[in-house]
Amino acid sequence: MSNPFDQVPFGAAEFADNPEPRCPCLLLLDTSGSMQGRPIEALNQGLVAFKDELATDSLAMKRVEVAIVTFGPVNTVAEFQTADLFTPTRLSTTGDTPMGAAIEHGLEMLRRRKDEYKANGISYYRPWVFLITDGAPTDSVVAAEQAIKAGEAAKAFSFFAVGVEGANMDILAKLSTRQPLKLDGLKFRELFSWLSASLSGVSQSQVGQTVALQSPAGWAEV
Amino acid sequence: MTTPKPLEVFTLCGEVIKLGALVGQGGEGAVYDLAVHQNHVAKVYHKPLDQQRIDKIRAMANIKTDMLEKLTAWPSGLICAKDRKPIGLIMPKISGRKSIHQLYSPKSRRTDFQRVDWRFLARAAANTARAFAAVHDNACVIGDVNHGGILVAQDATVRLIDCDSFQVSYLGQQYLCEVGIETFTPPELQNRPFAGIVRTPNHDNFGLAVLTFLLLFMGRHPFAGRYSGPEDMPIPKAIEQYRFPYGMNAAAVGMSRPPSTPELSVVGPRLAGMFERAFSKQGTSAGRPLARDWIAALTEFEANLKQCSANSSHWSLGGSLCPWCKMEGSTGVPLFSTVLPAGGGTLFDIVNFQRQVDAVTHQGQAPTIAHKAVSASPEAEKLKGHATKAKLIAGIAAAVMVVIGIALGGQIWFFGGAVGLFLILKGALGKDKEAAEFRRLATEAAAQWDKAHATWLERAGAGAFEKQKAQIAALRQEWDSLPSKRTAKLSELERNQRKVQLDRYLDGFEIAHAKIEGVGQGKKQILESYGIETALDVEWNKLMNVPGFGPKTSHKVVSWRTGLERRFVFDPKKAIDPHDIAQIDQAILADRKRLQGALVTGLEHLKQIKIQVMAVREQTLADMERLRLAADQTAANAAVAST
Repeated sequence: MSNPFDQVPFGAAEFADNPEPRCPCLLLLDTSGSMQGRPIEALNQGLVAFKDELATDSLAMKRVEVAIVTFGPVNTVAEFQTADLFTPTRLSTTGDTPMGAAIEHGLEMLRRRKDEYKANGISYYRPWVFLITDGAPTDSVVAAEQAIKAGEAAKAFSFFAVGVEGANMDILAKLSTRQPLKLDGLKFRELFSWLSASLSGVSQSQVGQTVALQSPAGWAEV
Repeated sequence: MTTPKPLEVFTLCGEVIKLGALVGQGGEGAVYDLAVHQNHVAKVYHKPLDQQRIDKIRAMANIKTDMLEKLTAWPSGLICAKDRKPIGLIMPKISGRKSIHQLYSPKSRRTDFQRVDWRFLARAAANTARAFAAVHDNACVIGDVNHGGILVAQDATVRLIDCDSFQVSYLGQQYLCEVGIETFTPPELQNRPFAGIVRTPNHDNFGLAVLTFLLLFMGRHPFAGRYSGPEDMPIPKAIEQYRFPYGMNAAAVGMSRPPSTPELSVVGPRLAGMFERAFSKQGTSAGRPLARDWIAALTEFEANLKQCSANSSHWSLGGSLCPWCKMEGSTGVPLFSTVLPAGGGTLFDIVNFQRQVDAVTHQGQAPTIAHKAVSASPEAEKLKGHATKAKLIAGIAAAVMVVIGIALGGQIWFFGGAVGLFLILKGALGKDKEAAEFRRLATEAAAQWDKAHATWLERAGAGAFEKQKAQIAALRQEWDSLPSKRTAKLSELERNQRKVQLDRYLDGFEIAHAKIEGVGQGKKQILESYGIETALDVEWNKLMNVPGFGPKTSHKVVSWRTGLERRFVFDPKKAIDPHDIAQIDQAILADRKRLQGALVTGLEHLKQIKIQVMAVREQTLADMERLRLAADQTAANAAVAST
């Protein structure tokens, strides 16, 4: 059954204002109770650094779109928006770790955003999904795992998992088709600085040159 | 990736070159000012240069002409380390310019290039074509055409940078360009590695057409459109398959223009034809329009642009409806910043101005979009009551089974079976899945309506207008307060003048010559060594820090100062320095000018807001009504289907 009404997109404004191709980046951030104290502090500072570094690249400011979903409980902190409009909000910690629900919610947001791009004739790069956690899921991740595998196979996005000290790396390895990375201490700042540089690189990538990601050696235990 | 600044660099002849401040740092190298030549800079590479690159730069320096040096950052020679190994190059310094993408995107244009209209964009495009033509005339090809390689100044002149990636021919040798950006790459080169490919001007001419399109079509890429097929249609793929959504064949290749974008015809038949050719198969085989063709066509185009009667920042070829009014109307996004009316007399008539502001009448609230009386669709009606029916049938079946169970002696499994049967039958007979689909559609339509309605209220409502009016009122208030501000500043100056005189007076009384009870020669010397020499220096806190000065003695010294102060007479006649007054008047005048400008811009902006809001109402009312109807219809369907 299809919708009998041909819908007219109303989101044309942001794309008329800025028709650059988009490079979406979804951050799935664990803000459960165990992140309390120094970890959440470091994560907040990392997000500020992320924005600051993106701001040094005028093209990335127009092309990179950031969305944030936190979990414990699942909450959309920021809908997809270009880097110039993205302002890091202070995250605080609560609750448990519904990782599966967060992933499903985030991927659904991403799917909708892509529909908006398509409806408005906006081209986009392969989205990045970045999961950061210091624990293990407190809900089922079966559906999330399937969604990730399917998305990766269809090249609908690239999924990266990062474990902070205490994270269940086995589960992350099962979730992600890529090798999950283990954060070195609380080097969130370095992580986001790397992410910003990588997104800048992707947002002006060239032909015949698969974007060679810089080694995450500055922040991950490799 | 910082490389330390080299200690010494040399020309090929071994002359020392003094490097100045670091100008910038890129992936390839760092750029430094030259201490001696202000118009040139030195680029020092992070990695040692290979022979190919060295030969290429040397060739470029030999090709260099005045024209190339004026239009590009053409290398003028190699620089070496102490061991005579080349480590970089000298090139013209380019400053005060911005990347061309900052001009063509409406959003960044409003901040980076103010007071720019379509004429400016056409001029920048023609100037880009001029730079391309100069490069082609010298048997070179740009190759890596891209949004960052062209820098535009506030007067629309352009310069090409990153010239060391150009393809250069010199004395029978060819130095290739081995990089490129997909979205500026012609179809025949898509999906092929650049290494070893000899570029032609016809390849550049594709990139030039893309740049021109981006400039004239508000930052829209010519190959970004809506594709009707199921799979994704990224720009490189669309280029490769000649799917130009603005072209004559758009429908045939399953493409349509993005919503709220102008038609290709807004640029007139000549330019439209050139875009068609540049983006077609024919352009690949028989050649695309040359840089020279673009110069001529864009010059003619610019000369024919006319100002819109409704909005002075809009210029177009004329005709029925201004394309920018239409586009701004459907999106609510201003495409150009407000253009100030030129000139302006010396005296600003605030009363007349206020009259003009008042003449822009309130536009009223956004029209309400009423619910429509709709009845559910036949498909939904069919599902009506299915749930009740299903429950009834299942209930009867289960009851029959229970009765049999009782008749057979009340075996417990019969009762369990009855419950199971009830559930199975209810599920099988029910059409929950179809009803759920109706509900899903309703939720989706409702969410879409809510989102669109919020946007509608924001764009078609009176909020922006009222805010702007309040802003003008605040400016007006500030304007009115200028005379009292001047008086306040003058009296402050007067007060200061009194202090200046008093200080001078107090400074005239030296402690060494004063008679203060209990303060002898010794104590005076101590005070002097603590920097307390005249009555002006006397302060309670300072005295308390001096050894030997307790409260008692300190009090006496302070009383001495207060006594002197009491005898001081302020002489207003010699008071104020006329320079100080002039300074205040100048500051007030500057304020007046600033406010005048802000008021005039504010009024223009107010008019523009009103025009835009009215246009949004006109252009999107039908869409809103359609969305309202869709939400109402799907809600009615869902309600009926789920009973």
